[in-house]
Amino acid sequence: MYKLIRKISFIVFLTMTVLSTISKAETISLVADEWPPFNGVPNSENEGFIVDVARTVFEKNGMRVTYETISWKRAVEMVREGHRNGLIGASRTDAPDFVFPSEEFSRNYIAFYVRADSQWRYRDQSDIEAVSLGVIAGYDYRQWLLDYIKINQDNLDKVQIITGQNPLQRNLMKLIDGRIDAIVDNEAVIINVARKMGLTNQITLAGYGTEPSDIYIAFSPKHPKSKDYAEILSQGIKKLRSSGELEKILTKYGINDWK
Amino acid sequence: MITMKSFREQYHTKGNKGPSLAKNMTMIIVLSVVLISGASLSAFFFTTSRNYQNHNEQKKAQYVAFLTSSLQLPLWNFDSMAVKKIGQTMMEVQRISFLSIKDGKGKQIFLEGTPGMYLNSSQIHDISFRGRVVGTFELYLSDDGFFRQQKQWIITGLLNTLMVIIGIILAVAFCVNRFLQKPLSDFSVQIRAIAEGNYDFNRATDVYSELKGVFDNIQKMSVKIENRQNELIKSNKKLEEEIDEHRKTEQLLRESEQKYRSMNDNIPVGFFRINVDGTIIEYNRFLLNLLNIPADKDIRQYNGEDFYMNPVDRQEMIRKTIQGKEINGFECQIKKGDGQLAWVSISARAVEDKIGNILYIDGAFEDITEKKAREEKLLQFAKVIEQADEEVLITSPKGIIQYVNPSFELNTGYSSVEVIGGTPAVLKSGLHERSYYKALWGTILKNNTWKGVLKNKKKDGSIILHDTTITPITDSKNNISAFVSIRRDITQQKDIENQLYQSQKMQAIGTLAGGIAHDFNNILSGIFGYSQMVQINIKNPEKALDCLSNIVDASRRATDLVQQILTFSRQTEYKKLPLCVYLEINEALKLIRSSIPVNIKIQNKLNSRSLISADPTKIHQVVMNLCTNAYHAMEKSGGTLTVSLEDVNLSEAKWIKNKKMTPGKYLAMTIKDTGCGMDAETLKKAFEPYFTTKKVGHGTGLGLSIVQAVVDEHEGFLDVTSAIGAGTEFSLYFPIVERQSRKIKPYNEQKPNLNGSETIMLVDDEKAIRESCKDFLERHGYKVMVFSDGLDAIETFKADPKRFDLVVTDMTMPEKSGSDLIAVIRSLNKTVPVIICSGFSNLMDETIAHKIGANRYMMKPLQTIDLLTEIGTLLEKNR
Repeated sequence: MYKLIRKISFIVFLTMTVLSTISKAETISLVADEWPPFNGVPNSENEGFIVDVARTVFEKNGMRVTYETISWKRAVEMVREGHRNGLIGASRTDAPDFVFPSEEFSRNYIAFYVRADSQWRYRDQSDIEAVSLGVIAGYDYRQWLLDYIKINQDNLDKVQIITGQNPLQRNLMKLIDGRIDAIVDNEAVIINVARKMGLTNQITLAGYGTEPSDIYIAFSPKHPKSKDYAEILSQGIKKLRSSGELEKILTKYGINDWK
Repeated sequence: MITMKSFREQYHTKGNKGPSLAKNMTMIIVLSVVLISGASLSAFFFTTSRNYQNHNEQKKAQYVAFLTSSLQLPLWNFDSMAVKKIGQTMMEVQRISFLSIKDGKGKQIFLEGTPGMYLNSSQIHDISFRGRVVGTFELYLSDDGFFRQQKQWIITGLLNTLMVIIGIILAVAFCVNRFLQKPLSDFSVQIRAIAEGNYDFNRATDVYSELKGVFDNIQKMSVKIENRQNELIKSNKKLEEEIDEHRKTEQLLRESEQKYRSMNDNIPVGFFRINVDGTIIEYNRFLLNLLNIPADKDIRQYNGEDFYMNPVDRQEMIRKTIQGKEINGFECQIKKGDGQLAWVSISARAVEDKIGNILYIDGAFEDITEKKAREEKLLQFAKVIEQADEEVLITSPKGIIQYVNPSFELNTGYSSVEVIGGTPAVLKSGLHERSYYKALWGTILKNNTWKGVLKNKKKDGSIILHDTTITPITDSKNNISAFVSIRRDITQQKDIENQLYQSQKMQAIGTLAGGIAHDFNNILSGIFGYSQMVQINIKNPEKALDCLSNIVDASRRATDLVQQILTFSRQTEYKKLPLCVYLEINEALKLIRSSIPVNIKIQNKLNSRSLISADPTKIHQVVMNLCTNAYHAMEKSGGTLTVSLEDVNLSEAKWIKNKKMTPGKYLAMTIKDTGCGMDAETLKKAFEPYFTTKKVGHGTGLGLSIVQAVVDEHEGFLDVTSAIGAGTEFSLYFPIVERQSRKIKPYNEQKPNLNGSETIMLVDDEKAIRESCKDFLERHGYKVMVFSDGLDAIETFKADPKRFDLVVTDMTMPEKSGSDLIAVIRSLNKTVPVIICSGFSNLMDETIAHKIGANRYMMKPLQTIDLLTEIGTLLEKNR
C-alpha cells in the first residue's frame, strides 16, 4: 500500500512538473534574412539546418523557438536592441558586441560566382578590381573585402551594394542580366538560391576566398539570459554531433559536417 | 417759326399714345449686358484654361523628373518593394490619377488609379540607368478639380448677370419716372398754370438739357405775358407811392420845424436878432434864461442897454459888427434881470440885402463866467509856481522836460532854454546807482508818487541835494500825461545835519570816555605788568614766552577797542544798503561793554539776522545813543541793559492803523533798561531837540531827536514805554528787505606763501614799527629797506624804480605823506604793489586808498601775520 501511494505520488509530481514546464516554456526568438541552406523560408519544410539544429537543441531544453526573416541590417539591429533573442548566420565580425556560443554552425569560405560565359576568375584579392561586384549591405565578407567595398561604395563599376528583401536572389538576377559581373557569398547559399531560381546552368564558380569565417547564432547583448542560451546551444551541438543527430540534419540539406 | 396755333395743332395731332420709353430702354440695356457678360465670361474661361494647362504641364514635368530619378536605382537593383513604395507615395498626390511602372523587361511592378474623364495627353517615360533602360512608367494627371472650379465660376457669373439685369430694370424704371415722367408732368401743370394766369414758369422744376429747347420758348411766352401784366400793376403802384411820399414829406417838414425850434430854445446859447439901432427883433428861450428873465416876459419890454454892465459895450458890439460885418468872441460883462453879473462872449453877423444894405444883425450870447473864473485861477497858480522857492520841473511821460520854474534856473544854473526839450539826466551826478533811478521810474510809471533825495549836479559841477517829490499827472482816461517834479534844495540842511550827527557822536564818546579810559588803563596795566615779568624772567624762556603771549592778547584787545571807537566816530557819506543789524549791534555793544561800569549787566537777545535798508553809521549811532541813555539811567543804581532783535509781522489792522505803518515784516530792535524811568511829562518832551534831564556838560539833548530822525529816514517807527522806577523800553521798527540770493563762487582761494625773497620798501616815521616789521619780514626771507620819511623814500625810488618789488608806507608822516610817495611811485612804476597803513580811519579807507593808487589799505596797529598775508597775496600775482 505504501509503495502504491509512493508510485501515485511520483506520477502526480512528474505530471505536474511536466505541465508546469510546458506552461512556462521560454520562447527563443530567432531572426535573419533568408540564407538557405543555413536558414530558409520560415515555417516551410526546409527552414534551414541552423534553424533545425537550434529547434532540436532548445526544445530538448524545454524551450520554444520562433523564426522569422527580415532584411539583414534590420535583423542585426533588432537583436542588438533586445527585441529578438538570436541572430542566425552571424559571424564575429558582423556583431562583435553580441554573445556568441563556443560551438559554431559552419566554417564559411566566401565564393565568387560569375555568369557561365564569363572568363573572369578569382585568384587573389587584386582580381576583383576588374569586375563590378554585387554585394549585400551589412554582410560580413572578411575584412579586406569590406574595406574594398567601403572605399568603392559610390563607384558602381566596382561595387554595387544591395539592401532589402531577397538580396541574393536579386543579385543573381542582376548577374544574369549583366548589370553586375560577379557576386560573392557562401557557395552553398548561392547554389541553393540558384537552384530554386533555375539558374544553376547560367552561373559558374570563379573562385574562393582563403580566409575562413565561423557562422553562429549570436545572442542579444541586452538580454540577461543570452549567456545561458549560448551555453545551452554549445552543449546541445556537441551532444547532437556525438549522437549522430547532427549528421542526419546536415544530410537533409546536402551538407557535410565542417569538423 | 412755330406759332402758338400750330404748336397747339401739332401737340393734339401727335397725341400721347406710342411705345413705352421705359420698356425700350430696359430691353436695349439688358441685351447689352447679356452680350457683354457672355463675352467677358468666354474671355475669362479661355484665359483661365490656358493658365491651368501651362501650370499642369509644369507640374507634370516636375513629377516625371522626380519619378525618373527616384526609380532608377530600385529598378536597377530589382527592388520591387522600393518601386512599389515610391509608386504609392506618388499616388498620394491629389492631382495624379494614374501611375503604371514596369521593369526593363516589361513586367508590371506597380499599377494604380484609373484614367480620369478629362485626361490630358500622356506618354510612356523610359527610366535609364548606366546606359540601359531599366524600366518605364506612365503618368496621368486629373483635370477634375479644374473643371469643378469652372462650373462654380459659370454659375456665379450667370447669377451675377441676372442680378445686374434686375438692377438695370429697376434703375431704368426709376430714372424714367423720376427724370422724365415727373418733369413732364410738372411742366404740364405749370403750362396749365400759365393759362390760368400764374406766370412763375421760370421758377419751376429744373429743366434737363434735352428738354431745354422745347421749354425755353414756353418760358419766353410766359415771361412776356407776365411782363405786360406787371407793367400795369407797377404804374398803379407808382401812383399810390407818390401820394404816400407827399404825405410823408409834409410830416417830416412839420417834425423838422418842431426839432429846430426846440433845439434853438434849448441850446445853451442865447440867440438874438436886432436892428442896427439895437432894437430886439427875435430871440430864443435860452436868452431869457441867460438874462434871468421869467419865461412869460417879453424881452422886448426891456431896454437893451440895461443888460450891459457898461452900456458902451453894447454900442461897441453893434459898431464893430456893422463895421466888420462880423464879430467873434466879443467879451463883456452883463447885468442879469436879478442884478447878478456875468461874463458873456458875443458873436454876431450883419445880414445884408442884395444891394448891401444891412437888414438886421443876428448874434449869440455865450455865458463864459465859469471859464473866466478858471482862467483867473490858472493865472494865480502859474504865479505861485513861478514865484515858488521850490524848484518845479514838468516832463512829458517820456521824461522830456517841458517846463522849469525860475527857482530851478536859479538853483541849478541851467536856464529854461537850455533844459526844455532835454531830459532831467542833465542833472545826473553819477552818485546814485542805476538801480536807484530804475526804482524811481518803476514807481512813477505805476502812477505812484515818488519821494526821495536826489544828489544832482549843477551846471557848475557842484553837487546839490534835492528833496524831491515826483507826481504823475493823469488825464481823464487815467493815462499819464506828464510828471511834475517838485524839488527842495536841502544841501545846506544836510551839511548842518551831518555836523550835528557828528558832534552828537563826539559828545556821546565824551560821556563814555571815562569808561573807555578805565578799560584802556586795565589793558595797559596788564601789558605793563607782563612786560616787567618778562624782564624778570628773561632767562626763563618758557615763562617769558607765556608773559609775551599775554601781552599780545592785551594788545589785541586794545586794538579792538580803538577800532570800535573809530567805527563809531567815522564820518562817512550817508548811504543806504542792505544791512544786517545784528552785526552792527554786536559792534556797538563791544564799545558799550568797554565803557559802562560792571554793575550794569548787558543782556543780549539778538534773535534775528534779517536785513534792512539802512545806513550802517546811523544805525550804529542809534544803538549807541539809546544804550548810553540806558547807562545814564542806571549809572547810580546799576541794573540790566537788554538789547533784543527779532522779526515781527505787523499785519494787525489796529496796530498798523494807529501807527500809520504799512503792513509787512519788520525788524524790531528793543533797548530796555531797569533804570529810573521817565514820567509822562518828560516822555512827551524826550524827543524834542536840546531837551535833556542831564547836568550841564553831560548831554546835548540831541540824542533821542537824532534817534527819531534816523528812524524816520529809514521809514521805520519808534515806540517808547517808561514809568518812574520801572525803567524805559525803546522799540524801533524797520521794514525788512528780502535777502537776495547770491551765487556762491567756488572756493579756490589759495593761502599765500608767507615766505619770500623779494625786496620791500618799508616807510614809517615810527621807529618801533619800522624795526619790528623789518625784523619780522626778514625772518620770512624778504629783503627790507626802511625809511623814516617819505622824502628819502621818494629819492631812493626815483634812483631805481625797478629795485623794489613791493612798498609798505604809512600815511601820515612829516615832510612827505604816504599819498605823496604813492603819487611819485605811480608816475614811475604802475605795477609795483603798494600797501598804505594808517591809524586814522577818517582819513583813509579802502576806497580812498584805491583812488590815490594803493593796492591795499591796512589799519594800524598792524598785525604782523595780516601784513605778511597781504604781502604774500600781492606778490603772488606778480610772481
